[in-house]
Amino acid sequence: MAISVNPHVLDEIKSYGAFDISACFHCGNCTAVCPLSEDGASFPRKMIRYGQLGVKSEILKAKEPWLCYYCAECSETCPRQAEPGEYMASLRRYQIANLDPTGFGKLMYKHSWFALLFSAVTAFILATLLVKIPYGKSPAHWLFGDLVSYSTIHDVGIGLSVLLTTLLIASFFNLIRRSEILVGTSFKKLLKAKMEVLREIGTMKRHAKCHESDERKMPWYIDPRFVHMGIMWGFLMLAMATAFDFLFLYLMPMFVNPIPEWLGAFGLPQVFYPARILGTIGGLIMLWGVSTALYKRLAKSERATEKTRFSDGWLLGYLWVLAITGFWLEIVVTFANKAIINDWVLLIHAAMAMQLVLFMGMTKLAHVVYRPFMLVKHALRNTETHQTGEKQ
Amino acid sequence: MNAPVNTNASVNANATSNPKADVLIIGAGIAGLQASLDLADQNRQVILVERNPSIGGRMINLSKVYPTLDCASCITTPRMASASHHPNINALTYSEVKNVEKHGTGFRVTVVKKPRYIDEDKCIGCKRCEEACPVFVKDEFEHNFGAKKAISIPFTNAIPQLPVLDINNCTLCGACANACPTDCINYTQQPVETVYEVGAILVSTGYQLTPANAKPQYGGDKFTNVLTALQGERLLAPHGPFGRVLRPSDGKIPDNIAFIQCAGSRDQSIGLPYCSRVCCMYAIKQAMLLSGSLPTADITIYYMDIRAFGKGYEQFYQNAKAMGIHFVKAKVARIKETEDKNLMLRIERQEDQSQPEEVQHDMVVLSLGLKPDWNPEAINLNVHTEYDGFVKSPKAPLQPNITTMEGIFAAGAATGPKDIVDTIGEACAGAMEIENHLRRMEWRLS
Ligand code: SF4
Ligand code: SF4
Repeated sequence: MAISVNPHVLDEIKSYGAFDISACFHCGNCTAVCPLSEDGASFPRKMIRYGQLGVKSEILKAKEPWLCYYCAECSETCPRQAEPGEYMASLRRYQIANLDPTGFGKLMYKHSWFALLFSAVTAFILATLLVKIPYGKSPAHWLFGDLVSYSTIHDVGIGLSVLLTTLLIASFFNLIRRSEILVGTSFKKLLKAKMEVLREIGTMKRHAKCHESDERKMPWYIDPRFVHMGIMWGFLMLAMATAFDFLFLYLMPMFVNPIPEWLGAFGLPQVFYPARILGTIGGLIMLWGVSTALYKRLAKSERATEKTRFSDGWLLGYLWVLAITGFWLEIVVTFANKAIINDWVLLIHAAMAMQLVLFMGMTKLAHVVYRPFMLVKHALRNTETHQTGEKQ
Repeated sequence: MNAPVNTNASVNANATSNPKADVLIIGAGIAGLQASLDLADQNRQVILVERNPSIGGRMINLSKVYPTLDCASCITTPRMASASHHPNINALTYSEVKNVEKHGTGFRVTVVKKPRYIDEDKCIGCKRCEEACPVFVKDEFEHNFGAKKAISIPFTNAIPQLPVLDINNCTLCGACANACPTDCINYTQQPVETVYEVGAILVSTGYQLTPANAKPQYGGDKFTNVLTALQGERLLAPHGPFGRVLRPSDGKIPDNIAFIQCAGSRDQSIGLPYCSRVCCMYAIKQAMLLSGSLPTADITIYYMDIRAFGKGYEQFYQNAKAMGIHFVKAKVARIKETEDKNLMLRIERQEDQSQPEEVQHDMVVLSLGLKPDWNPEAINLNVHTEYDGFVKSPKAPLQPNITTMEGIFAAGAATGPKDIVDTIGEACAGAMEIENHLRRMEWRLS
């Protein structure tokens, strides 16, 4: 296939991040210093070359941006201070935005005012959908539960999931088509690659390489690998808890009472209920991860967070508010607090959670699909042929 | 300096009886030597101030010079000797300029002479003290390859041939004082300040190498077999510390040596964005000398660009290639030490398929860059520097020796990285510039 070159691509990528990649004189320091760059996955310089040449097709299907965890060692040591690490982050944003079929992704990534406005408007619409007006009751007597309709939450939730699935299928169709990942791959190989990637996602072993050396070691509670793992595992545990919740509340009661009666005697039945335990632990882990990550981003305390963009903060901000409001609700439910303010909190919580789902394909959250996908592509690399350079 | 300072009685008694000279030159490296000889030959009285115990600067420390491969000490020593014997040159070694004030059309310069702890007039340079001294200290002239005594003449062809006692390491055992045939050891000697009146000043303070740990990824301060460029020079010098090329960790003869270019230059991440001009050429020179001493060794130069800009330099580079020295276009990103003290370099070749790669060598020389060795703020005068710390040359293209202060001139690596050829040219120009200035000012000695 002929490769088309577009000189405006670099300018376009530049609008997704703060870097000066035109300053790069291709010394190769970044690729060689990168602990994750390896034979068959050489970056960032190769990606810089693509960007400078303007080969959009290669950039959009490249796996390299997703093999980078942005430790920023390349940015720290780049002799031209071209910020190759930030460039890689921008390529991730660029891919998400360009593969999002709605076009909102581009706008949200490029303009923080749009992201804010769009978030506010959709939040308002969703909240309105979820509210029921308790007619005939004066606001002074409103109680927890009067304002929000749980059945609408579930209905809207299901509606959103359908919408999201459609959007995601569209994005991934884009992705698969462009990345040519499935061309000439046997099912067995694909399965093997998937197992490799699952292991990687669970443990983020590659990420550990970024902070192996003595100078870059950090205590575990601020080590980006564990912070990232905390967010992911916390999120997954919460998702599982929600699924259990559904099972227990809607399906199980038909057969058994999930809450042992003797627990009720303590007045704290809900705390011990399995889905809640899982949710609480997951929530705490996620809260630690998200708070740490958010702090690093707001304080711009590390080279990798120095160039934080609104879109990075957006996702963490959402997760953080969701975690806090989630705990709030758990506490008021546990202690049977009836104050009406809890309804407002619930509204915020539900609306933001739905937004997160709705925006999945057009925000940073999309990385939960892109990264594993590209890792599979990388795991399949041995099937590609690589000519190795002559060694001395 | 904490020690009390003896001020020359005459200075206080009558300011006008300060010793006078036409020109004071700060730094007796090759630039200072050249300029002082040129001026002295014009019958100007020159005071040549040198911080180190010997004149000669960096050049006397080098192995050979490019592109002619002349022996550096063979061509520097005669210059040093003529300067020290010239009737119009007063070389003040182991002395530092402490203060400069404007005075009439000229300047009043305070020079502090540091104590050598010997009576310089009585010392005959017999080295008996050196033989007697039981204390060994690191030999700075050999860049810490090897040791010398706590009292010693800094190096074989030092001028003047006077020992310096290293008071910080001396145990005051008295062995040197007992051994000295002229009884010149003085453990309580103090610094002496003298004020000179001069018509013009030349700053020829040269350079220092960028620190070996400037880029920490190279482990220049941690790994024994990672050498600085000047250590590389000593290894190859005819009177070097080992007398042959050995690698420092185990005395093994290295057979796979790497040079890393731009190890302290052209790198904004370490605050040194400029090209140091000399590193490409000295690395090629050292590589050639190495392949002369170790004909079977593999020698690789990792570079970003080879800047062979001077007369005969490109040919020199081509000769090196023809000799079989490998040139690999790649910026070394990181060095790791293996168990047997070999060095693992991580690179990405620029002229091949893009992929990171690890290559092993048994010795590495860092082609470090050049930094200014002196800050004019030290003398509290209006001599400005550039962003990089080198002396500013406001009239650079036409009059490179002019500084921002009238009457103060600069030459050599003090104004920017420069090799020997260019330094000497600039020093000659500086001497002429000073001569013109003195005439314009109608400066008279008496
Ligand atoms: S380290 Fe900097 S200058 Fe060198 S190739 Fe990478 S981005 Fe370009
Ligand atoms: S007195 Fe000091 S310098 Fe002299 S011999 Fe003893 S240790 Fe060496």
